[in-house]
Amino acid sequence: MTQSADAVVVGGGFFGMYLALLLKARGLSPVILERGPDFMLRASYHNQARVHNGYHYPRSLMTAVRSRVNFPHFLQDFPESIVEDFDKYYAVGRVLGKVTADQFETFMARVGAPLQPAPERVSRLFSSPLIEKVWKVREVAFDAGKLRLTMRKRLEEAGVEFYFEADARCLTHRADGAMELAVETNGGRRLYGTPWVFNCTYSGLNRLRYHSGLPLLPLKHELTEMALVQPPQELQNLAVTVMCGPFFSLMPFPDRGLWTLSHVRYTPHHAWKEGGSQSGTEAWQDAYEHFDRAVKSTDGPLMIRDAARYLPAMSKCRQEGSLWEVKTVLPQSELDDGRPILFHRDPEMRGLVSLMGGKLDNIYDIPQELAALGLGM
Amino acid sequence: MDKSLVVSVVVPLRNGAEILPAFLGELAGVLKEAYYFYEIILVDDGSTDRTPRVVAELLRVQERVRFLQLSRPYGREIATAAGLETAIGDFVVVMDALTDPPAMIPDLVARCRLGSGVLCGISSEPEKSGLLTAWATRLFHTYCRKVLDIDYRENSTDFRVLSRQAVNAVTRIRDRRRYLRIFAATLGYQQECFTYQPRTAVNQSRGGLQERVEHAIEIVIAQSRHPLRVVSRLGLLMSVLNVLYAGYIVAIYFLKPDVARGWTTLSMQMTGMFFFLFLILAVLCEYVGRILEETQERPLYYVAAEQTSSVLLETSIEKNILNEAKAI
Repeated sequence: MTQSADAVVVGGGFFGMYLALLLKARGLSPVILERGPDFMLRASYHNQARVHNGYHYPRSLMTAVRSRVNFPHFLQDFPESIVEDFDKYYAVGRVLGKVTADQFETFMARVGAPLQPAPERVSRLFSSPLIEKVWKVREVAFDAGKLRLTMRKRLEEAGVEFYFEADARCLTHRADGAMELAVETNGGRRLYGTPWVFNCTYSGLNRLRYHSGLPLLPLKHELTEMALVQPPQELQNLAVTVMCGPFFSLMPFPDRGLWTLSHVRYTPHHAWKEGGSQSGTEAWQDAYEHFDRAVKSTDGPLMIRDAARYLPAMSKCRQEGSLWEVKTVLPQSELDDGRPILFHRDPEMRGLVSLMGGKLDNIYDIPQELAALGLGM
Repeated sequence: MDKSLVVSVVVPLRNGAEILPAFLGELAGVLKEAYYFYEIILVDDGSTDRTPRVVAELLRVQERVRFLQLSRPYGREIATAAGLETAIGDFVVVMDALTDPPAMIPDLVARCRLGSGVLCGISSEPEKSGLLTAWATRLFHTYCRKVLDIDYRENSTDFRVLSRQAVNAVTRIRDRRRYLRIFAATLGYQQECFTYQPRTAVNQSRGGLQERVEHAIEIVIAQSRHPLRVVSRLGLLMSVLNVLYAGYIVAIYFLKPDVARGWTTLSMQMTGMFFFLFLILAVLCEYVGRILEETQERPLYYVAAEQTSSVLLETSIEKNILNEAKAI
């Protein structure tokens, strides 16, 4: 039996949930299909829980500016998920870095991001031969668990239909111009007739396209690891990011009561590409299957060792585990380190939109793209 | 042996495309066996052969290799310094791909851990050189030991192990002329030596007498103000002698009746000038020496690129094993 829906949102991550709320507000009745047993279990949960305020992208003006603009919106939208009980410091490394302290200051002045020199007691913690300068900035973290609850509550209040363990497999054209989406659930098979399918599956973006016989989007996946650590006493309530090269970043991870330590060199364990026509279409493989099979042996001790060279107190930090995830980026954003969102309307199947954001907090670019589809308010 | 130690191996390279694959395979084999975590840092000091391409290939195969490509040839010592500065290990091994045997690393690290901050290699093969060269070399080493207070051993090679503490100290030194052998010896950490048999003759690169003299001068000047001190003392001595000579001129003027006209004034003027000249030179020497110690804040090198191993799939994916055969 075929059910009909105004729009189907594939993927119950933060982007999918947010998009469904937007569609509902525009008078549509969307349905969310999530492959896993709950919302926000993959990349929306396994990330550094950072609400960007522009400081993180000193080489991509666009991303930095958008982050600055979106920052207050996000704080206003999700006050109960915001965690701000720590001081955030950015530092610039002397060796191997892609920016210098002067450049960093110039750039931040350009995007209007205030920098305060770090107090003496903090800058003393850093190793001066390796760190050029340290600033105190305003950047906050979010609690992924609380965010999940908030979003779920909003969906329920708005009356958005959602199904877990529902796997959107294949999309076909119907004679009347609408599309038909075949969905596998643990109860069996279901069909949706719908004019709009929003694919918000991040690493799984090409899965539906592959099964529907559509060309793959060029994506780059990485198997990534962040160490979950307990920082030593002298670094309590201190979050640190060293810019901009093979350096580390320490951020609170409120949902676990621990801190994530990521490292540009050690966080990506390996990478693979799919799609892209320049070198012949690379064969598709299920990113999450790849993830499940990959050997995950931690590089946490290496991250801690390297971090301790810049911030000696880090040598006393204790690793409690790791967060593993597939991280997906657009190959074109590799060069300038920007994180544009992908909003791709299929040229053939006009109702299929692929939506992917590199950061949780740039959802605010979506409404105007929806308006361009004729789904504005 | 403690497998949880993190060991970094720094290998400065120039034009090593031929030997690199075999060497890297051997090195990685030794390290993988001995440690859970290690890293190999290849520092390319401006190779003109296929080295970058060969390394790019190897990065796909070998895990935990980092390749640091300097923008132009800076010399072996600076390439080593670049490697040391980016190494993260608890212990850092510096070695030559051509001469030093990787199999020794685990024992050397264990030994370095037991006591000293620095462990340095001495070649068991005394280098072959002419009588004059050998004699001059010995004289220089004695000068280093006795006068400059540097424990610069004969036949020492670049194969060495440094503790994290020693590496941190070395990376604080930002001289443009760098001699790790000397630095390591002057750090104040206890230095130990080990003797080993290099695979091929070590000292090919050290060249003949003239080259060595230049090298020796560089070391002395980079490491010590001693020659400047000697010259400045000499200047002081000369000015004192001039004062004495002035006394002699005055004495002659009064005691001898037949002094030629003008000799006294001319002599006084000359001694006066020389006195001031040598005094000024002596003072200048001291200040130049002080400036020498204070200078050299500039970055040592610029890195053109850093790449990291990206080993894929076959090695990092568990085998897909079917435990049952299925009837079709």
